[in-house]
Amino acid sequence: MANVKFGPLYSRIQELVGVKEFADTTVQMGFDAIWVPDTLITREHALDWTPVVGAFAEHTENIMLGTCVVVVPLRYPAILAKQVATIDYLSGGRFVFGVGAGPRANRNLEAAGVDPRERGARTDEALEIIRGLWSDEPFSHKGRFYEFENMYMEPKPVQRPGPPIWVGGHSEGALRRAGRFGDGFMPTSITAATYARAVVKIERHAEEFGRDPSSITRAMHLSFRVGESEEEASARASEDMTNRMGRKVEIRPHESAVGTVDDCLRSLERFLSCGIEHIVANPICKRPEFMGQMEIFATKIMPRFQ
Amino acid sequence: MPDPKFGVIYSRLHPVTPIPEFAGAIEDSGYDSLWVTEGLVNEMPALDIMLALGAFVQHTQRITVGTCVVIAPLRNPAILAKETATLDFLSGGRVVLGVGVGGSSNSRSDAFDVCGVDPRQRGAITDEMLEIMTKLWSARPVSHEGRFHSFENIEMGPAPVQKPHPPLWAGGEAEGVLRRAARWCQGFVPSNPGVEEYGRLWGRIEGYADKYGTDASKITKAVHLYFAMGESREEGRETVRSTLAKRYGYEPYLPDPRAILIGTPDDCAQTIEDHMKIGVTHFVLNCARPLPEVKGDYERFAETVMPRFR
Repeated sequence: MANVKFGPLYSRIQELVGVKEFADTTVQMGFDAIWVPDTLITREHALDWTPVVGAFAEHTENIMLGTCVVVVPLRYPAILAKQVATIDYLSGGRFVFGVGAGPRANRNLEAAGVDPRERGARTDEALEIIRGLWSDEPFSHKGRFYEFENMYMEPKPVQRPGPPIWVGGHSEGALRRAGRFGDGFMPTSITAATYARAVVKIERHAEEFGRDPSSITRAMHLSFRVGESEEEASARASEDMTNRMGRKVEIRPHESAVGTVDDCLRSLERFLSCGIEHIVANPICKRPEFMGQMEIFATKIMPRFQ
Repeated sequence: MPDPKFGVIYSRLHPVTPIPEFAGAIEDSGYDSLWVTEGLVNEMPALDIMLALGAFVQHTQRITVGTCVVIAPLRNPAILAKETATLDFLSGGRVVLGVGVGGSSNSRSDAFDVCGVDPRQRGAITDEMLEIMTKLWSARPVSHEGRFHSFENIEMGPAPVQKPHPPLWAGGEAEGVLRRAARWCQGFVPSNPGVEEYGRLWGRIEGYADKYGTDASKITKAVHLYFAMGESREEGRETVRSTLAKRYGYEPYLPDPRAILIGTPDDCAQTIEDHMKIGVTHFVLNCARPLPEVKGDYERFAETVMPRFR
């Protein structure tokens, strides 16, 4: 289990650690990527993903940049296609477009005025349109939500035919989407056993859509917390997450990497045995502890698998 | 009379003059502001307006950066509010959001088509949008019930750095724009209207301001001007004409030569002075000449015209 890529999630700490400082630190620590979430409505200080990814593009040279994940149905597909192409341009082709439909109960959907029942269908149609607008030929489309003829968009993304699309979530809809559109699969809060089963389903969907299942990169968003023991780290991470979200959230050991360094190493081995090649590492802690947790992860955990 | 401010438009220049190079040159030349335009489909290559703005935020320290203009009805109000607040945070409060409703050219109507937005509703969508954004920027729990959007108790952080929010500038000359400028905006930026027409438009804004109980004297009077220096106004006008014809694929409508910024440094200074006499304080230059010459022309203006007003 070598050659695994790791990247931290830059989330909620912008007031403490600016974009440039975070970029420099991340590169110094030996991470391979930086990931940014899409947080439209939050109680905490959280920035919009587009200018933040754009800023990382300006302040880094080689590492991968990605979203984990953009809630696709909140936006017009054409605007999103243009934004992603622009990020790919600004970063010189280093962008991975992580996408999701958003959870069912979601204030973001409400704020943006999107019917939650349509979110899956809107996401699928948007991905079709986005890929179409990135193609070399003028693109026409007739779907449930959008209909137009002969549209072309310039500039094209640097990566051809477009930046990789990695699909988040592991609902049945998400697995089908990953099989149909995904260059990668990037779920969160998932056990290794569920991950393995999800891969089987995705591969079946990929075949249904005439795609090569082996072309789908396996990734995951992993919550981690290094502490005294599995119980202690899990309890403290759950408490911090509950405070952050304003509702009860549990960080379960089997869906994360919590505990001592050895506990975390064992958890990672369990996930990596599913063939996972990319880890989005998200420290679950109070904001001032964020960089310290990253440092431990980067020095004691990540190098074992890189 | 306070010194006028000068800004420049960055439009479709990225293949020729990348953002970092352009940002440095403009800031060093002494300009006050830098603006980006929008272009979505079926036209010359254009970067996403909010991302280009974000890149300029990273590559400037001092000057105002803004949109001139974002096509508001093609954006979601909550997302545009969030993007703008984010850019305001990242820039330390240097952002202006210029909003327009989209013109009538073919590529503009294609932009509405590709987003599935009815262009006939663009004014109404924009009205509601300005209301929603203004509410959300309070960063307190807010509710809204309108024609296009309804939500309850939505709280969006972070609040913008500028209080109560980054200035909103209304771009365009249509009646709805004037009404919107008076009701919601802190700036007004029509395109090449000429001083007489500007005066008329401003009179309308004052009328609307009375109606809405807002203070028109607090609205920044700006103007967007096509710009090309040359040996004479005729030569400058021809540069603008041929550039726009090539860019848009049809013969452009060009107003009175004194309504655009063309000719020698003396000609340009005269046009600036004419506009200052009616109270215009912020000039947004849109250089209409072949892309490789744009940066140089802006620098030339900064050297030969701007010092006369400082």
